[in-house]
Amino acid sequence: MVRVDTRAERRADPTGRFDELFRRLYPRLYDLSHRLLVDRWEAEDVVQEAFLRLVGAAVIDRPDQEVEAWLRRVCVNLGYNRLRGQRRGRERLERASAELPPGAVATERDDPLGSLLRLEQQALVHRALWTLPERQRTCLLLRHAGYTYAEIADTCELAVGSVGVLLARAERTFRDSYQRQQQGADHEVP
Amino acid sequence: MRCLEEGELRAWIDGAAADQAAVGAHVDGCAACQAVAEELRGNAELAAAATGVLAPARPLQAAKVEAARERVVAAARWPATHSSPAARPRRALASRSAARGWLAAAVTGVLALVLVATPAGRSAASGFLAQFRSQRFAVVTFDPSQAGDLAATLRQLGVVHGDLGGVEPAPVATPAAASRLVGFPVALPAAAALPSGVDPRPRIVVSPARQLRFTLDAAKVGRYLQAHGRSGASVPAGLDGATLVANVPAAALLEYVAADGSPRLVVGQSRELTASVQGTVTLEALREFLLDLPGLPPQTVRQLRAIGDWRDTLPLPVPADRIDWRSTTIHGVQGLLLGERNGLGSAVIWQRDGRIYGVAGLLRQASVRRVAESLD
Repeated sequence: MVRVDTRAERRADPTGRFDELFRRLYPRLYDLSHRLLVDRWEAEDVVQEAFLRLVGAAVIDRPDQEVEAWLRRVCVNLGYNRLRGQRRGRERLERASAELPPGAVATERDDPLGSLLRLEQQALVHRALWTLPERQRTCLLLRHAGYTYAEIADTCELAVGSVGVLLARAERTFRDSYQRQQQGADHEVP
Repeated sequence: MRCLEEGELRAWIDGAAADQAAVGAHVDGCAACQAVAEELRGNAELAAAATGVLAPARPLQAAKVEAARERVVAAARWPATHSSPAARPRRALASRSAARGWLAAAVTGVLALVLVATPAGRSAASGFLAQFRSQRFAVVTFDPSQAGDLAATLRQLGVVHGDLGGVEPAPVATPAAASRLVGFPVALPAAAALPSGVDPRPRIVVSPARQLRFTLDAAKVGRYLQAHGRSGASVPAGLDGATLVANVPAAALLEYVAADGSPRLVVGQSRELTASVQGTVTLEALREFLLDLPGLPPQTVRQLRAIGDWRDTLPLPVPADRIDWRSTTIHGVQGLLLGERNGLGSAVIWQRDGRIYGVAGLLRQASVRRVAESLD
């Protein structure tokens, strides 16, 4: 089936288009926001707020690729704003760098030990990620959430050719930092 | 051909180079680029594996996506040309995380979760160190910027069993079904007392009862004391292996939503929260020992020590910069009326006949109190 994608048709059925975009994009945007915020409710809030902003925004009449990049960008920005700007932002960032990932909650009721280990693992990964410059961190998160180079470039407003450079740097810094964190964790908990 | 930029090599690894074939041909014949590519591949694999743990633990169900879509559509202001809910004025998309934080915080079983699951719960948890049975509340203020993290602190002192995070409540169809699950008749507010614009049929969910166990480990406590500059301090005999057991009761939550689907009011109820200590150490000694630990905010410790009847008083951590509270009388017993300083949310909580009740909402205190008084 061919997706409705001409400008005239998009204008003819705006709510249908919104619904279609929502159903198609929400799960992946949720996954991306969750990776950033490590909190299911915060992630849901961020994605829903992004879609709320899409209503009435001019970008909704643009081709899918542009709408998708716009939504990703809004989700990432809202996510960072939440981590930075809120009252608890400092505490969250400190937790990200010192304790647990922001808003982390154990999720596996039947396996408390497993969920505790998962929490610790999330904390460790987040601490390592937070040693990266923001753009590199975003690139890395997008890539490993499964987005293509073109999609990453659209989201971060980069040339496609720059994505590889940023990723290579981001992953190297991440590796070093992650391994340091792991050694630190091993040292702390013998 | 000159050696390649690492950005090109990185893209090539993902099949995203501008000219895959040319990069591949070069790498085949260039040991230096092969080495760089190997390193980049290893870094990429590590990043992929490590960040995988940040993804949601469970896949999103289609029904959840649909519910989210309906919420957004209801909250949105559509351009006038739209046929859909155009006339409806836009309302703020009530933040579910904020609603969760505020509505849940003041409510019954969830309240108990907050006590042990929030940063402030660290201090509150010390109130459980007894054959403890919650019968009343006492406010313990804390400074959010000073609050640490309970889970992290506890892990520095011993081993935690049980889910410190929230437990997903399960929806039930009727108040009767909820009553069976919590073990007492669930009280309902009078329809007339509900704020206007609220759907009088609540969504009913029940969070299951559960047990949290925390076992002290003398070796860890020793390290903790050492790290806080008390290397000479000894760990009292009998402390090693002493286990604090907190029984968090099942809680029924009645959630009332506005026409746009945003949460407005939550009524929660549960049995009392109990806790006990297993081991040879006396309960008071254990409480005393924990309150004496370095690294706890002194002001919080002072407030906890000031609670005379600590065996039946549940400390309620309140961020003093954000929330005002006062004592009140609800259903003939003493309760607490809490209000956010920004005027958005209010809550009232009380305990009566071995049950904890809470009403919280994005409402004025008078509205919350009216709902609370109408519970029957």
